Amino acid sequence: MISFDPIADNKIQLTIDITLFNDTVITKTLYWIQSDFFVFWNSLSNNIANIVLEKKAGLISEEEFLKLKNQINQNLIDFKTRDIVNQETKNIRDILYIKAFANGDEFEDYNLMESSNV
Amino acid sequence: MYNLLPFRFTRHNGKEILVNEVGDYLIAPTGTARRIADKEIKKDEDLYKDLINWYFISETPIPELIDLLAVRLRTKKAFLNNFTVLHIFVLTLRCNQNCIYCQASSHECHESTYDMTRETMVKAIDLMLKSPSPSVTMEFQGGEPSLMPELLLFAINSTEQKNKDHLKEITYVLCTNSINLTDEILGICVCYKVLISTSLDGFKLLHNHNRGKSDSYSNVVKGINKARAVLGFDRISALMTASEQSLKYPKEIVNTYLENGFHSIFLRALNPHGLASGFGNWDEYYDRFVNFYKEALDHIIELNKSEILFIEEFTALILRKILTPFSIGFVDLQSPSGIINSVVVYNYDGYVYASDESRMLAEHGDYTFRLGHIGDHYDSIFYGEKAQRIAMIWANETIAGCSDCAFMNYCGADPVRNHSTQGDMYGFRPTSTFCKKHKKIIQHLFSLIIEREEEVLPIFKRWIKNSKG
Repeated sequence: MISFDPIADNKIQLTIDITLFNDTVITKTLYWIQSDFFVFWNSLSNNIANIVLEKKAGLISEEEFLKLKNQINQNLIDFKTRDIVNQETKNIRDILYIKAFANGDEFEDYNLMESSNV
Repeated sequence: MYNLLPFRFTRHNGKEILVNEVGDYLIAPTGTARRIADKEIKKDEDLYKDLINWYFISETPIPELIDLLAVRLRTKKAFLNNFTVLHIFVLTLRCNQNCIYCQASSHECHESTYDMTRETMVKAIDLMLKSPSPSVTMEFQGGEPSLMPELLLFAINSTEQKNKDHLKEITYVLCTNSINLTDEILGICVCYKVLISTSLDGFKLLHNHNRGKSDSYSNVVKGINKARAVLGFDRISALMTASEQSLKYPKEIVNTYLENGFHSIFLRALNPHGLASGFGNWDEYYDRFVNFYKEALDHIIELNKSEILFIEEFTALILRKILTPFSIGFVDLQSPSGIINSVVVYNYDGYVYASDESRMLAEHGDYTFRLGHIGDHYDSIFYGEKAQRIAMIWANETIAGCSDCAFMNYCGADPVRNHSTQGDMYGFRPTSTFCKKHKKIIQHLFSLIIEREEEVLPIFKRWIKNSKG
């Protein structure tokens, strides 16, 4: 996260470098605050996402601001870790589920190395 | 350099809980998940061996023991093997109690229009026997099913007769408030080894308050004792439902179960269905329920330390998912969801529903989870368009908020609850009370396992060994 600033009593502006945190990571992070905030996401040309969070009801207290800053910061890092794991293990996960649940002999000759591109 | 295998993680009290694809967990220092993902774990670290042994990482692109891991995954989902096992028959909506939280939308005793007919029963039995499962549970519910002794006997007799062609193993369960356990009803239970599942909400004042009757507690206890004398002590089990009033009395409720000779209790929260749906603040209720649960659980753990075996059944179900390789039969904690896969309901009026909660929604005019009618073909009910539509969103592995959750393996998917509380089957986890409640309870169990391991683990293992699962 590059910046996290209040821009009104009920609005916060975030700027995020999307080469560090991709769309999936940002979306999953924002998912958990959508019950309290409207999200306005503007992709700028220089790999920067400009996001404005507008509180649905009431104003943002100082305590809430700091809590949210911590939460979003931590979630961006954690969802990035999850994204790395998800990306790298997607194929092995598919293979695991096919092996666990495919019926009959249909997948007996399933070429693991070829299908997982490894 | 190692390869990653699928895993999830969460933070808890300065540590990280890492859970692999089949539900095995590791407790590690904060930052471990990040180190694993960044391939920073060195081969000479003890953690490296643990991560290899517990399938968090692999030294080859495809783990050598992937077939074993696949068997483990299949075992975790073994509840899917035989398709629908639990078949609920709503004999009537009539009831002789007036519970303040009634989830079944029961009606007064004299309203016979709410009774199932014999023709409906026969067709519903035919559908049940078409289930691919070699063993099924036929559960009689209401209203109060003991008000229909003739239909109960007819149902069991017909099933026994028809089953000669199917040779299924059939377990009969009568869900009753135990107020009306006549000799006739108990005679049927003896003859066909019917198990009794009853409700006891706590001590006299509380139980009577919840039931809306001044003599309910004494009648229920009398009924329980009569059933035990006729059927055998362990043929009757009880569960409680925590009304708002109940939340003040965790220890007292547990003690009432002990005083009445029970070896377990199921601490059950209210469901936002039926009469309970009019209740006010559900967020606050579930927060209070979790505190109630923690206090009751602590009390139960203390009891078990003094050599009493007394199990909290909901905890035992979650622990079985955390601590063993096996699956459980409890439909609320299954993914893919227990609806249709494990349970189906034949309502008194002949309509077939995806779950008990689904038919309760129908009583309020919401037919979203009505799968069809007993006159329809088996395939159109169980594999039809509606079932397929529900199936699109009934697995935690595929839905937002759940698929990344460290506790995904231990939780369940509930499209019915999502629909009834949030207006769509997919649901929205940040405001889901189902998510909030389960997450807090599972987190609490992990904190007990991490912080009081020596004290609680022997007790928890005894519960797993002695509970039904």
